[in-house]
Amino acid sequence: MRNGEQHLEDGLRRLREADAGMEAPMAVEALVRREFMQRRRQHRVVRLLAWSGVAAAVVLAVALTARPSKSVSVEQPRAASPAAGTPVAPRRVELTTEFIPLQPAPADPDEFSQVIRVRLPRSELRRFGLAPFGQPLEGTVRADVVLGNDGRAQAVRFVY
Amino acid sequence: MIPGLSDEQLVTGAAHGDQDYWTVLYRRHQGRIYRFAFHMSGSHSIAEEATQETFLALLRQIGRYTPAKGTVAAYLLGIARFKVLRLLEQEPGHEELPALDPVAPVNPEEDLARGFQQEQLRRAIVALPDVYREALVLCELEGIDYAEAAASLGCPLGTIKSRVSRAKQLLLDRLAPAGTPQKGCLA
Repeated sequence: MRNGEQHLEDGLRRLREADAGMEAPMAVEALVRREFMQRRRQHRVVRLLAWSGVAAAVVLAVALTARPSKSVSVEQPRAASPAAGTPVAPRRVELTTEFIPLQPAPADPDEFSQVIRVRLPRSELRRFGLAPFGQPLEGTVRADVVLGNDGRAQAVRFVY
Repeated sequence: MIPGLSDEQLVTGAAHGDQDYWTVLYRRHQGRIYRFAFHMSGSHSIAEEATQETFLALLRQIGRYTPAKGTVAAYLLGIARFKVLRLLEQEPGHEELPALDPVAPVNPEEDLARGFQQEQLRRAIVALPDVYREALVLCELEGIDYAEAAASLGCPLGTIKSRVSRAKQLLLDRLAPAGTPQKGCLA
């Protein structure tokens, strides 16, 4: 090995040895640990909110299935398509909520037997956290209820 | 016993929110990251900031780390390299080592001159082009093998070897006493 190369190798080795104990200041560790704790707290809050949502859904499902069915009044289903030649009224678009599951979803979709349009006491909205603030809860509200083969309500949505 | 755990186990534990795992992981790697950043920049303030940013970046993506991305050390060095280069671009007026005096002689046999020579060598390393500097720092100053350096820098093994070799040649040219041309000089 040439002399210059040997000197360079020696210099690099000495530099490596001299800097071997070099470390980041403690302030960096403190900051990095603090950031870790902060992120852990944020994740915990997110998890707590997620579990709270699941718990609320379970409570709502239980509350609705325990509700006496006699308060439900079934409306006549709408007529099928109008006869040929009959003037067709402009179709009214209904605004509805999403279907709110009341039971765990069945593995077989065919298990849902039918959907019925019912009128529920408007106060039922409160059970689902849908009651508009400051508005009276008297009267009834239209709702579509999905019934399973066993006759139990599987899901519900409200019609505005 | 946490200190005996592998890096991958520490990352998994930290990803699940265990602060002890995170602390051990940090302490195991912070020195190497700091030294790498310092040798790359010649600046303690940049080394400090790069170390901090490297671990915060790991924290943000800790759930996405898999061993398929390389060892934890290589993964961290890859992040650190990016951070250092970005900081050097952003802070051209950073606390650099004094400018190199190209006519200063190198005489490793004299102990009194050793401190001076080390600073000369540091300055010469910092003055190298990025690609040669990072390869030299990883392989020669951090003692990382060529394969791991290749993983950190995202280039083939042969490229790393040739870059280290070329970096050394550039240093020889730079540190050679005036009037002593080196063989194979890379102009």
